[in-house]
Amino acid sequence: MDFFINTFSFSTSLIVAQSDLDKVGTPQWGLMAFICIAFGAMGYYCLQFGVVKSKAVATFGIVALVAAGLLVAVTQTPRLELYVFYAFAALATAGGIAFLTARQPVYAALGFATAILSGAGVLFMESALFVAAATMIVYAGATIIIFLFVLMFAHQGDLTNYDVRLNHPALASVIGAILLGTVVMAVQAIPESDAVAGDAAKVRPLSQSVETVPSSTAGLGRSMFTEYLFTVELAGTLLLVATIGSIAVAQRSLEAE
Amino acid sequence: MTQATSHLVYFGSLIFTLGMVGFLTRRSMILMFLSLELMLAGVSINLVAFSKQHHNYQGQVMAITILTVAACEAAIALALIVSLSRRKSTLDIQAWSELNEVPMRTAEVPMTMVDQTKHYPKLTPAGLEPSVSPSPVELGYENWDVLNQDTEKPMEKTQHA
Repeated sequence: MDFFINTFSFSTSLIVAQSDLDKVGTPQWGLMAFICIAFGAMGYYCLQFGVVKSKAVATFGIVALVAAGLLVAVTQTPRLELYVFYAFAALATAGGIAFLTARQPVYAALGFATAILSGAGVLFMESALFVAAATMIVYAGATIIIFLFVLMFAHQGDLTNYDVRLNHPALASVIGAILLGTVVMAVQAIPESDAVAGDAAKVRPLSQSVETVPSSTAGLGRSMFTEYLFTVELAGTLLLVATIGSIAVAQRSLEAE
Repeated sequence: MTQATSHLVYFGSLIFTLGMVGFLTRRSMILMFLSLELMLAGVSINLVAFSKQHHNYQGQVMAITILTVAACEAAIALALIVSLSRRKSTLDIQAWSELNEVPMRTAEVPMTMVDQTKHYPKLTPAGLEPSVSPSPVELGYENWDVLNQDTEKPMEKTQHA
């Protein structure tokens, strides 16, 4: 229900934003994004029903990614950090698509690891250094353990029934396309403004601000242990409870056996 | 919203959508769990983008909190996967789609309308000698008791129904 309300408010904000269309951005880009989303959903649907071969879709997807990268490189101002950012983003997207479309669980886990590590690279390029490092540490550990699980549970080579026949792929791809299209529409409805010093007061209504771009780990630590100390305590309590709960669940299964 | 922020939001929502589609379609419990982790990663990328947009550390602190929640979820989900796959020796989530009890069977004997008019007692007409029905022993039935039990059981069921 909230989703529909949000969609409605987005559409009204779109109508409002059409009065000053020159600030919104190029509408062709948005149309292309919608077309890409629709093609992605259709490709996923076709892949799940075996209409097309897997390799053809993969090559088409790679060609589309390279084309998108070239397009971005043409339209953007050529800066090296932007290239690295878009390269990491494309790699993470490719890893996510590989995770989504792989039949073998081992390859899906590999795609997941690629997506997460490339996402950490994107965070690194966005000067969120501590978050990137923590993501790499936590997810690398989790991914290694998941790898062990996959290797223990799934035998390589033979696919099980639940790996091949998925749950409502058509409905899921439609829902995903609608969600992504709504997000693209909503972000494009917001008028674009560079965060220069004059505009910065409008840009941060949430709480008190820092002077520069938040990039230092020391500032993050100071903010975390002064303003958000209660959050840190809560996270620690949550970790303790989760540890006890997971030990209890595993122990019970041992006793039942 | 600056262009870099909007591109970062697109990227985060794309990762979130990939994870969501994976969560909706996958049937293996391990891969569903990985899809959940991918969704959380997309959300944390969005939060970092907003932190850069608003020029404060709020989003990064929330991203770290989400990372903590992801670690807790990983521990509990792996314990659950181990215990569930030991019970039924499969990773299929649809093996657990019926957590309820076995549904109660409905009454096998359907309710029948009883024609009440046939059961009115009839008086024997006066003036005639009443006919004496022969006993089953005279007719040659040896296992009278067995016959009696067999005929009685469905009668009880109909009365209860």
